[in-house]
Order: sequence, then structure tokens, then C-alpha cells
Amino acid sequence: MIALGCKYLRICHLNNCATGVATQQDKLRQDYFIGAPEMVMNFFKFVAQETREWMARLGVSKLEELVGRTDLLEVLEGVTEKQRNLDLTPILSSAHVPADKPHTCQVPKNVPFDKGELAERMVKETLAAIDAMAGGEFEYRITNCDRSIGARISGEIAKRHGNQGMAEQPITIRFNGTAGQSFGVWNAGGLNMYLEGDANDYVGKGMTGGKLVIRPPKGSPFKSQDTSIIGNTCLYGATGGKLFASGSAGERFGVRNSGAHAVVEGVGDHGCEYMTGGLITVLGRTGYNFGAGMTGGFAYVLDEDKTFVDKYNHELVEIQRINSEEMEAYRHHLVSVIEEFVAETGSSWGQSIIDNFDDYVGQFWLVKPKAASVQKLLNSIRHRPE
Amino acid sequence: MAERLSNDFQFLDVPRNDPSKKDIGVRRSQYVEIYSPFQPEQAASQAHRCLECGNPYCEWKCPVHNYIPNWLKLVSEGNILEAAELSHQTNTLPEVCGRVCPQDRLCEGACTLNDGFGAVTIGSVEKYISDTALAMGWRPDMSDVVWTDKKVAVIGAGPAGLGCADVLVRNGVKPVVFDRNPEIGGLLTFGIPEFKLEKPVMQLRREVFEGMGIEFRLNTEIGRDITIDDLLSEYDAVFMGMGTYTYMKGGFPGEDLDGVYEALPYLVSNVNRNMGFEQSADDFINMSAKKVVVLGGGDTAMDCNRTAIRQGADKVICAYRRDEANMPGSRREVANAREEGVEFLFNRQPIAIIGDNKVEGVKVVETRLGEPDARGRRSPEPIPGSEQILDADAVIIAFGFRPSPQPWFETAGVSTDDGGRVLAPEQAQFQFQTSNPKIFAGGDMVRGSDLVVTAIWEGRKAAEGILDYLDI
Ligand SMILES: Cc1cc2nc3c(=O)[nH]c(=O)nc-3n(C[C@H](O)[C@H](O)[C@H](O)COP(=O)(O)OP(=O)(O)OC[C@H]3O[C@@H](n4cnc5c(N)ncnc54)[C@H](O)[C@@H]3O)c2cc1C
Ligand code: SF4
Repeated sequence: MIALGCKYLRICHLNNCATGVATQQDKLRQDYFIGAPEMVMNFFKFVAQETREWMARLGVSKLEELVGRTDLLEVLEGVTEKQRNLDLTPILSSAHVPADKPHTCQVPKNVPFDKGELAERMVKETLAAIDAMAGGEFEYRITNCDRSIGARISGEIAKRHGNQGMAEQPITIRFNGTAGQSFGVWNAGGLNMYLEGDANDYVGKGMTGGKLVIRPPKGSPFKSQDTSIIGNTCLYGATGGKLFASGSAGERFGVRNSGAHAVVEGVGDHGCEYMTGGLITVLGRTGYNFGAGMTGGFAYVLDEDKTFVDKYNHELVEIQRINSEEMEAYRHHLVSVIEEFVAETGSSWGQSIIDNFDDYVGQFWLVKPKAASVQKLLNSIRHRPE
Repeated sequence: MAERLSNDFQFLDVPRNDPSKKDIGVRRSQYVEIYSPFQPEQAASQAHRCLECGNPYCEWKCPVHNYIPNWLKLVSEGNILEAAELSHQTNTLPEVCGRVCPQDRLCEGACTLNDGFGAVTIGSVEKYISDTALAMGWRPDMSDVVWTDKKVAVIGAGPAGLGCADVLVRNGVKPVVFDRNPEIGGLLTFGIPEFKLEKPVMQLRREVFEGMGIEFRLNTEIGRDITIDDLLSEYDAVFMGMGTYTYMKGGFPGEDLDGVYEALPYLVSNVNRNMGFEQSADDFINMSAKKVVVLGGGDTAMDCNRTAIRQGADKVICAYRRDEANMPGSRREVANAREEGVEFLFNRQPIAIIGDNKVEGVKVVETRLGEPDARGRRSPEPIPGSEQILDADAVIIAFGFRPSPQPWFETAGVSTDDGGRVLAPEQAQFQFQTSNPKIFAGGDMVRGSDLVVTAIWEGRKAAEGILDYLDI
């Protein structure tokens, strides 16, 4: 970070970092951030160079030869009385490692147990459509043993056409069943995945584009807004794309999100934690600590039981109603967001909110960082590739 | 009270605003400070621009390590008296430093915001704090001081001597300050002109110091009116802060002609006239209606330039042998001089002053910068055939000052280096102790001519050395 311009101001938590390193403030990022990848490259080159110089002085040519060689360390005498009393022998001793056994890992890698069979099959079957940029529709059954589904295809798309290169000719895949961990992780533009069923943790982690839509199986008797449908930490570090889930998400929903748009019907604790961009709409209950460390983007939250004031984290965000005259643009926006959600998921709860919007509108909160101005929020959520 | 400011983005929303300067007509004719004071809202709003960097570069760069972000915050909250108390914990003359420090090279130069945002106006706020607090009747809190039976003689009432006396008195040691001048301040009074530092500032300070228990014996020269031996036998220790008063010469022909003046006597004659210390009207050096050439490029040269303008000189040319970027003084003062009508000629080295009995002109040769020396400063070299004569009725030589070791140093056992600077190392068992264990020294006479704030620092540190030496 120092190589990129950080000056150790230690105001990282205030969003006003004058070097543009730790801030979401556009002007600071655009006009004052001086970092370039080459600076970090240089830094590491120097680290490597210095390491080599030290190794050369020790007569060692490979890092492996240094592992466990505490005999090469020299113990300083210590400057203070207390330091001089320290006995460092236990941590410097290699006695517990048998001399005739190797000191470094001897296997090239751990072969994963999960062979990713569904993922590989999907790649095989979609590759022609990706190569030709043709798009297409596919269907699979999915089980909770199938992890990181979609990532392989996103990788193939990104490798050939870039992160958003296929957004206009998307590949659409419909799933039935229960997805394992990380459904739609690193999702690229041009991959739209529809899941009828439910999913584990980390849905949409690091996603940058495309669409993930999750809805309960047709004919489910339960109320979607009271039922979990995706697990914890969904959209972790996402930078773009859309996630619609007709049901409740787990904890830390949208943590470190910087650009994705999502609609869910409820979230657990720590929603929108450290969020720096994007838009989250929660059509139902949230847990505690909503908006902790949130410095960018914004959220709509439906607060039917009037508990949200006690639940959100007051440090960096503030909340306001959207039923006043000057918030008209936000009301229109919210309706369009819910309409899209209903069109994708068929959520009857979403539909009933639209049908009775006049009754619900007074129960919505707009959650925004204190430092952001209401006038500029709507513009700020236009997709910004990082 | 106004609502407390709370804006993390104040540094973006509010630009740096220096206090406004007075009308140029006033500046060109009167001996008054050129900046108007800050208004309270302005001071608070500017102070609130501070980012409070966890690692305050300004504080490290400031030679006395002022608690800058902390008092800026107090000012932004309107807590002036608390700010004054804090400001005095590290600085003896905050309102003076706020006026005359070259902030662009010190605190404000190191300010994080100096990189494209405009540094916080640290100097102006520092001045504002003490000016305002003193006007409100605030005086340093001496209620906790436990008096000892020790007393220390301080030679010189300049920034170094005052810094030393300040720390001594706050620790219950009685300082008696001797100065050959009729007023305290050293070069602050008899050197730095009023347009940078108005004289009532030091007069008020004298009241404050006397209120704290510092005694001044003025018009008293050590070595003439009182001997060092008297001091050594009467006092528990002695501090010397006597400055540097040997004028550097150019070493070219014509320096003795009529109409050639040394900078300091010139400036002092003007101060003496303004303050009523003038002994005889003949002592006054007047540039009125003259063509003046000032030789040199430091703070002293700038002060001579601007004094000559105020005296009504026809034309003032400042000739300096390096280029503008290599001038040693504060850039702010160069800009001020230029605004007031001083003409600058860079890369001109004087080689002779010309005239029969009386100055008629200065012969200069153009220079270019040679390769950087070991310290990175590039020495000028003359360009052959580029000689030129500048018309002049008067020439002021401002080449700087060298130490002036006194004849009695030897008998008192005080050693100097080859250049005449008193040897008194900061890194020693007793900071700033000279080779006579009972004598301490600091300021220009130890470090060579430098700055007000560095002299204050050394005086204060020497006081700590003395307290250790006296086992207090
Ligand atoms: C014209 C001019 C402009 C300057 N402008 C600036 C500026 O803008 N900013 C800045 O930071 N610095 C400036 N300086 C430098 C600054 O003034 C000095 O660095 C500072 O005053 C040094 O403080 P001092 O206490 O060491 O010495 P001085 O201020 O020189 O004080 C020494 C005192 O000791 C007294 N003394 C000496 N010998 C004896 C004796 N035997 N007995 C009794 N008393 C004695 C003298 O009368 C004098 O009062 C300027 C200097 C000059 C000459
Ligand atoms: S003493 Fe000088 S350097 Fe220190 S804060 Fe004040 S103006 Fe800046």
C-alpha cells in the first residue's frame, strides 16, 4: 500500500483518505490516487532482490534450503534489561524436527476430493456456444455436492471475451435442486443462472456480471419471505451483476460488495457490511448491525415491525424515509427494482408489495453512508467496473 | 457558541485560505504587518481542514515539535484557552513563530494536504491562538510551580535565551536575563522588521515573561558591564544565547565606499527610529529617493529590500548569485517583496562596487549553476564576458552572519569550532553543555545563523540540560 501512495495517515475508517487509497470518494480516487501496478511490481522486485542478496551472503541458492535453519540466525543482545532476560532458545530450536526427515512439503499438491464433474460437463456442453459467442439455453439437475457451479464457465467466457464480453449474448442455464457452496462465484457477464430450489453459502461471491436468480420450487407451500433460500456471506466482494433470491439470505449479506445489485426478502446479521458500492434491496426483516463499515452504495429496507432503527449500525450510515415529496425519484426507482425482481423470480411477496405499494412505501427505509449526498446516490449506482 | 464543525471532507470542501493581505499602498509605505488577523470563524474553518493524520508529518517537521493537529482541533472547536495552554507546552513564542517561521519549508511544507489540496494554514492559526488568548487575558498557568533556590543567568534575550528562561521558570528556577539592547527579543526586535513582526508583540511578551517570574536586566553587556566570572560565582549556571553578529563580506573591491551599508545596522537604524531608540539623527540610514541595490538572497536581504521600499527608494534591485529555486529564504517573503515592487536579478554575482569616494554602481557578472556539491547545493560559476553595471546610489550587503566569539570565552573555558561556533552538543549527558560544565549555550551562536524556531528549541533543550545538571 505504501508503494501505491499510502502515507500512513491512519484515517482509513473515515472514507476521506487524502491519498485516494482507502476511500470511495470519487474525486480523491480520480485526482489523488497515484498508484500504478508497476509500483507494486517494483516493490516486490526489490524485496526479491534483497532476499537474494541475503541468501547469497549465506551461500544459499534456494529458499527451501533456508527452512528450519535457525542456526543461521544471530540473537541480538537486547537493548533493555527486559529484552536481555528473554530466553529465545525454545523458539529457535529445531530439535522437534527429526534430522533425517525433510523440512519442506514433498508432494506437488493435494489432489482435491471433489472432481467437479458437473462443472466439467457443463463446460463441455456450453463451450461451442461460448466460442461462437452464440449464447444458448441449458438445463441441469444440481445437488449440494456440486460446488462453485458456474465458475468454470465464467472463466472460459472471461478468457475469451473479457468479463463483460458476452453480456449481450448470454448463456442461460436452468437448474433444479440444491446448489453446493459458492453458486455463481466470480460470475461473468454473459452467464445467467436460474435455480429452482435453494443454495448454500457464498452465492455470487466476487461476481462481476450476469444474473443469478434463485426461487423456491414451484408449488412450495411456505411463505418465501419467512424462509431461508441462500446461505451466509453471499455477494462477498462482488463488483457487478445482479442477484435475485425469493427468500431470506443468511448473515453478512453483501459484505464488501462494490457494485452488484441484489434483491432478497430478508437478511441475517451484518447485512451490507463494509459495502462500498452497489444496491441492496431487502423486502423483509434484517438482523443486527446492518451497514457496519458501509461507505458506499445504498440499500432499501422494508421495516414492517419498526425495529430497523435499533438494528442498523449508526456509525457510518443514516436512514431516511422515501415517502416525502423530494424522494419521488427513489420511489419510482424502488418500484422498478421490485418489478424486475418479480419478473425474474415470480415472487408472490414481491408482487403483493407492488400491488399495495401505497401501504408499504411508508415502511421502507433508504440506507445510505452519512458522507454520501442523497442527490447523487442514484447516479452513483450505475455500474462502475473496478 | 457556533455549532461544532464536523466534516471529514472539510479539506476538499473548503480551500486553503491565507489571511488577507493589506492594501499594497499601505504595505509600500507603512511599518505594519501585512497580513490581517484571522476572524474566529475563519480560524475554526481553516483549522478544521486538518486530517489529523495518525502520523503527523507537520509535528515531526516543526523544530519544536508542536502538537499541531491537537491544537488545530481545539481551535476548530472554539477552545482557544486550551489551545493556548497546549501550544505553550512546546513553544515559548508561538505567536512569533506563527509570523516568521518559513512554514512553506517546515510544518506546512510537510502537511499531507500540501500535496495538491493546499496545506493547512498552520502558521496563521498558531499566531491566532496566542494573539487571541493573550488579548482575552490568558496567561501561562504557573500555579503548580514549586520554586527552588536555584538561579541561572541567561546572556541574550533573543529566542534562544527566552526559550531557556521559559523552561527554567516553569521548573521553579529563577532566570535573570541580560541583554546589551534596551529591549528584549534579540533579532526579533533589532533585526526582523515590523512588517513581519510588529514590535508590540514582543512588548506584550515581556510583560507575560515578567509576570511568570523572569527578570530582565537590559542595557547590560556581559564582558563590559558585568564579567562572566561575576555571573559564574553569583549563579548556579549560565546560559549563553548571544547570536551571530559578524557580518560576512563579499571580498570584492569597493566595499568600503560611501553609500555601502551592512544589512543589520541598516535595519536596526530603521527600527531605532521607529521605536524611539535613536541616539542621534545621523545614525539613521535612509534610502528615500535612492536607487538601491541589495546583494544577497536570504531573509535578511528580503527585509532590507522591503524596508528600502517603505523608506521611499526610487528603485530597489535585489541581485542574487543563484537562481530563484535555490534561494535560501522563505518563498512567501520573496513573493511579498516582489508584490511590493522589488526587482530581482538572478544568477548575478557582484565582482566590484564602483565609484569615486561614493557608490555609483555595482559590477555584476552573470552566473550559471555548476554541478551539485556533496550537500547537493550547486555553486554558481561566472559566464565570461557577461559583466554588466547596475546603477546605484546605495548598496546594502546581506551576505549573512558568522559567529562572534568573545575574547572572554577562553578564560571562561568555552571552546568553539574552527568557524567560531560554540561547542555545545545536543547529544550529551547534559544537553547543550559547553566545555565549561557550568555554562550552557544554544541558538545561532551554536548552530550558526539559522531560524527563530531552532533557537527556541535549543534554548528550551539547554534548560532541560541545566535542570539535569542542577539535579532538579
Ligand atoms: C534581518 C533578519 C531577518 C530574519 N528573519 C527571520 C525570519 O523571518 N524567520 C526566522 O525564523 N528567522 C529569521 N532570522 C534569523 C533569526 O532571527 C535568528 O536565527 C534568531 O534570532 C537567533 O536567535 P538567538 O537567540 O540565537 O540570537 P539573537 O536573536 O541574535 O539574540 C542574541 C541576543 O544576545 C544579545 N547579546 C549578545 N552578546 C551579548 C553580551 N555579551 N551581553 C549581553 N547581551 C548580548 C544580543 O543583543 C541579542 O539580543 C532573521 C535574521 C535576520 C538578521
Ligand atoms: S513553530 Fe514554526 S514550524 Fe512549528 S508549527 Fe509553528 S510555524 Fe510551523
